[in-house]
Amino acid sequence: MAQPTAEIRHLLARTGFGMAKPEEIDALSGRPYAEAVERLLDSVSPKPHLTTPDWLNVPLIAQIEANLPKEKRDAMQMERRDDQRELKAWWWAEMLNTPRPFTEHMVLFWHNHFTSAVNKVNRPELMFKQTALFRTYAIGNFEKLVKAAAKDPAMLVYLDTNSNRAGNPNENFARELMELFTLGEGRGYTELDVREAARSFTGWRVVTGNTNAGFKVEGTLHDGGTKKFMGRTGRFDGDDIIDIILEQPQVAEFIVEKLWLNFVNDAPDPADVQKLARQFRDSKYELRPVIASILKSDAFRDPDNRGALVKSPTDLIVGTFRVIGTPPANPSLYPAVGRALGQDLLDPPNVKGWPGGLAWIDTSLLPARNAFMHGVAAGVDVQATGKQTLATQARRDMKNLPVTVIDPAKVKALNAMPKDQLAELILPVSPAGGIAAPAGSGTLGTLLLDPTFQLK
Amino acid sequence: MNRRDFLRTAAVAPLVSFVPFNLAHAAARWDRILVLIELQGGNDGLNTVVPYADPKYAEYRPTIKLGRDRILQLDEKLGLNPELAPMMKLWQSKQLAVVNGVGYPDPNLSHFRGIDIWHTATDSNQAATVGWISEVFKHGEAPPADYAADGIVVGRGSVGPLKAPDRRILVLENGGAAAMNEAKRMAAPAMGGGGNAALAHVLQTQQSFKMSSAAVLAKNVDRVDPGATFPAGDFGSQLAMAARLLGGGVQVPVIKATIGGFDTHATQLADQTPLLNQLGAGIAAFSDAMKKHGLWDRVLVMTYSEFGRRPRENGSGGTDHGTAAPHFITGGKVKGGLYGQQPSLTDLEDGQNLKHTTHFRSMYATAAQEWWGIPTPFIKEKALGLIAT
Repeated sequence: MAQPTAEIRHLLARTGFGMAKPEEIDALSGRPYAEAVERLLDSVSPKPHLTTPDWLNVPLIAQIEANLPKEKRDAMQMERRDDQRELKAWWWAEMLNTPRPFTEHMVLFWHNHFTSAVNKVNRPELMFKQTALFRTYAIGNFEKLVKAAAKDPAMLVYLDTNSNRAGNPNENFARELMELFTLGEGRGYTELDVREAARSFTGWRVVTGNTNAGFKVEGTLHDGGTKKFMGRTGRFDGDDIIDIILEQPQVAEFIVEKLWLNFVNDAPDPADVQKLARQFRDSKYELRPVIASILKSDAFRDPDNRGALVKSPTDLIVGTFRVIGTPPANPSLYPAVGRALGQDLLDPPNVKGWPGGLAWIDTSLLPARNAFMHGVAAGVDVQATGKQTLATQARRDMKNLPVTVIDPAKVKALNAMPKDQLAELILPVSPAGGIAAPAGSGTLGTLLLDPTFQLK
Repeated sequence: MNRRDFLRTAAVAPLVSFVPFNLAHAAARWDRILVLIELQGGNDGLNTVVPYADPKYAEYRPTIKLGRDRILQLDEKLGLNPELAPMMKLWQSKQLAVVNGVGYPDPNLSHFRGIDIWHTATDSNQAATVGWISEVFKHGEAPPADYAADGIVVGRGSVGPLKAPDRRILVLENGGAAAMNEAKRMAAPAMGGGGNAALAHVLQTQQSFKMSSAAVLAKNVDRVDPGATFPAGDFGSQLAMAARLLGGGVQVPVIKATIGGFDTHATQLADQTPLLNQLGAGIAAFSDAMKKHGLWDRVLVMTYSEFGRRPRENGSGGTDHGTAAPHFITGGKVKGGLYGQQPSLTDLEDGQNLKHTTHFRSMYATAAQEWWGIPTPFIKEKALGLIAT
């Protein structure tokens, strides 16, 4: 074998959902590491694995007009709530089922960067369109991604560009564009820049009506006057503003730092960040090569770096069930589990998204995560012994997921592995031990309860 | 660098020069407890503290106005919703502060963003991830290490104002059975012995959680008499739990309870009435319980909500998302009375919404500075001056 399996496991855990299936590790093993990285990058696809919900094919972009009769308004709102639930369930199912977890990992990364929340956007079909955009540009060109995200209908609604008009500018999008999406808070822009940028985005609108949601500039609402932005003067529009922002070297540093925190560890090395940022800028913001460099870097590959990141709730749930689960019969149950553990996908807590890192675990969230893993371990035990019933407490711990989400055949195969090999598959580092595994839980169950299972 | 970062940086070195001398050297009053009550959904202020004498009130609310004869008068202009009758004895004993017109500039009318602003004490165009109480603990003084926890959330509400990765927060839903169960089966982690920072954080958090839970379990709070009869329902149970925790001697500086359902877009009279009934009865019972346990002078109760509601009722017998609203502060040391101006019903924001007269951060400054004696350089608003010395 050309590469130790542990290194491929690490690569897949960090680019997927915290762990990897044995067959996924096998498929990338036995070749030079750099080649494995390129194979992984090749796997990214703009096309989701599952078919999309039916209602997405029906253009239903019409506004809920205040002048519609109340019954009609209520009915439309009810339908949207249902669609919203279905959309969340669909994305969880996609993450659980896709043969390309790296794609969904990147969709989630961009969802947490260019945040929007369905509870404000209120139109699930627009939120789907936004995640589709992230799938398209997952590891594509960042400049194109920023410009597309600025015109994305869900974003136009979420950050109020849709109500930004000449004479009465709304600064919401302009501020977050600089603070959260490109430059970073306080890195080289002023309050005046925010105001002038806001003027430049005036008149940007969601196209509504019985067509697919789109983007247009409403000329009468656009402020065509001269703006002074970051030392430049001109009749700028939104794209000009983005061009000027992307000329600033801080952008590449900010994005590289964020990629580092996502893939490598909580302590980006300033010299490495500088080097990678230069590469990112020189490539005109191509994401694939800079991500490849990160994944091939000494820091990423350092064995001491394994287990240095805390799993997100999505990692914990999706990663676990990708390895031991059945294809979900009822994916609508998963969003509630994510919510209980602190990550309600498509409804981030605010425009900053989930802070992540160590913040995934605090004294209020740890018991929920632990209880969940206790439930799963009990479920593993039930499926291993063929008892087929789960105690009330375990059902509660599993947040009402049925025990049938755990695949008895997978549990059997895993428990048949030599202990050391199984530990290397399930955990990022050697077990920390000191756990009180419930009587009866087999080797697999014990590993799932180890504190190091919370890490990736 | 935004305003808050500037103040944080500035606060590191010459902290003493920022605070009045009498606060600079005094230790925080950790014998004092803050009890927060979140009114989830955006409580309608005008039907809670009613400007009954203003003709605009009746004009704006043809079907949901409360009859003048039913109002519990506080003065010649304002009165309480009759459902809050149990709180009148606190008013009469001058221990109930009614803070009027509480809000902030450029209000956000989304539930999610609105509560986020209240929980993090940021301006409406800023986002933060740490709750305001945790900011107070971080930049002022942290609760003693031997306290059971930095805060306890009773019920299903969010940890909101306490949110921070390194704070010791216990969430005790349904009497806390699930958390206590988890604490019992969670082994004491093997500390020390190498490992990376992430693993250290997991083990440290596990240990904190176990210690907090053990401190609660040691007091056998299940067997403590709450000290009063609380209203039936989830909110009453939360306050009963709070009374048992405090009555049982669990040491904690903050308790948060939540009552939901205030998003009264339709049939408001039917929906808000029982909620205010529970709120009034709950606060009165909690006050009785604290008096019985000899703790009333050590407790400050404060309500908050993500926003108030529109002065004009809508076509469904309800009210839509609005802005400023009144809030209650009560406790044995509270100087009762009306605080802050009642917003005008004629001079409305965009012709629609009440203009706030009291920044919500004044309530936070009151809790931090006046109640605990902790300076809060990141809050520029003044405390309300309602704690008796």
